[in-house]
Amino acid sequence: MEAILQVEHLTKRYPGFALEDVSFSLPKGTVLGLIGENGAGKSTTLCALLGLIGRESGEVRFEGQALDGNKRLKEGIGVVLDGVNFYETLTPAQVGRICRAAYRSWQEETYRQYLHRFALTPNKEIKALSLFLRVKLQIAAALSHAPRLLILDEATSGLDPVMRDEILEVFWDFVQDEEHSILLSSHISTDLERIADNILFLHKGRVRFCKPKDELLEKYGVLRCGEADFARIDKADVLAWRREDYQWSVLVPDREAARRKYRPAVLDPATLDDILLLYVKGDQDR
Amino acid sequence: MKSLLLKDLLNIAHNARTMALLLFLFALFFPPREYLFISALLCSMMIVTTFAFDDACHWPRFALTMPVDKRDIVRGKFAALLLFCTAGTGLGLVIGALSGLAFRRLAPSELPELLFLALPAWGLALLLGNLAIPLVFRFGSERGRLLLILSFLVPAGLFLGAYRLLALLGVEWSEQVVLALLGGLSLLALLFGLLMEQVSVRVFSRREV
Repeated sequence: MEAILQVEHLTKRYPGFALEDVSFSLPKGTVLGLIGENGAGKSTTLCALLGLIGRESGEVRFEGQALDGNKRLKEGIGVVLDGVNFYETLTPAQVGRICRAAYRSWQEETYRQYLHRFALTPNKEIKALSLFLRVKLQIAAALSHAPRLLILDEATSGLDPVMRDEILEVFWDFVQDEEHSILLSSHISTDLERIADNILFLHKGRVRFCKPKDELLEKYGVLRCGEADFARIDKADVLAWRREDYQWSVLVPDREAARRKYRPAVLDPATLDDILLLYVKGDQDR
Repeated sequence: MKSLLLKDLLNIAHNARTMALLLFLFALFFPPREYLFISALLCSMMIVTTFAFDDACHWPRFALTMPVDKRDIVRGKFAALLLFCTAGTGLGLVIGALSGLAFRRLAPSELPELLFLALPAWGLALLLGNLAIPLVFRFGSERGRLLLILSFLVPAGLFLGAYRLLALLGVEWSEQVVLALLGGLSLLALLFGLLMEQVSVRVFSRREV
């Protein structure tokens, strides 16, 4: 599949933290979810690829063209960062005027439709809007200049499940067009399980894996066993393990194979939270 | 850049009523000549307020995701400053003249002089604003405001000291020299603005948003 976004060898170093050699590719028509513990480098990755922060090295290509120094390319990218980025005394109507002046591809009718769909009153000041409506305003602005790529940094954090469901539906509608893609970072793994096609896992500033979500959810498993059974497990068969109060939790890349080999051990399907927790808090052989 | 300028104007419009009230009150107490300078300077300082608004909502970070770059953001601020200085001088001139005539602080025959003073008032406001922008880009709106007061007082003090020293040495300032200096201030402010724009671009390009 043709890539809409290619990130190669992205490196950004701060005192005490480094984003090292992050590379990935986002195919058209797909959703890539970024997961990782707090401080893993999710926001740094997004900021570095958007050029909001300087970087030591790396290249970012959007639709085959280098993004750096090509501000017009940003017409095709809608971005929603954590929180609202317009001053609180502005109204949705004024936000529309500002964006119309910024984007050549601004679609006033689309923006009006989103305001209507999101129940946003055009002349109500942002400070009078709920958190949910503020997020919706940012999303309306991001979707109204005909973007092909949507980049979302913790856009749904702080919202309850019902609100998040409504927002995810908007993203789902957006990505129905096969030319559209979404790159989103979220610590709410259930959202990613619903919408993402691929999952990129960052840990301590490095990419641990980038895999199809279905592979993770359908093949990965968590084997739960006691001390004696754990000692029998071949560490080459497992990705990570962790000792809990009364048992060991072991992450395996092929739960059916593990089920056959380590019968009668209990094997559960792995959720993204399980994978994250075992990689971050557990031990690994390599 | 148009969107950035529009954003600043829409943001600051919210403060317009407070500013109008302030200018009205000042017109009651200050003579027209002083009022003209006060109005121009007050309006030029609104540029620092626009930075405070931007900081409050992390605007620069978001703005750079739009089809604008850091140079556009800097240029937008200087364009806004030009508008604020011009509006402040215009208001100072009109309100100052009207209040001066109403309270008999200004004779109709002095109107041409007030009109001429609008040029140095605009120049001084622009000079101060030009100084403010790179300081705020470097130190943020809060610290930048304080440093601005210092960086304005120091050269003003030096200038006053030099003026007094020359007076003590018996150097006379003719009316022509004073007029030329006042008129030249605007030109100086414009040239200084071009320099400060370059400085601001350098400062801001090194800063992470």
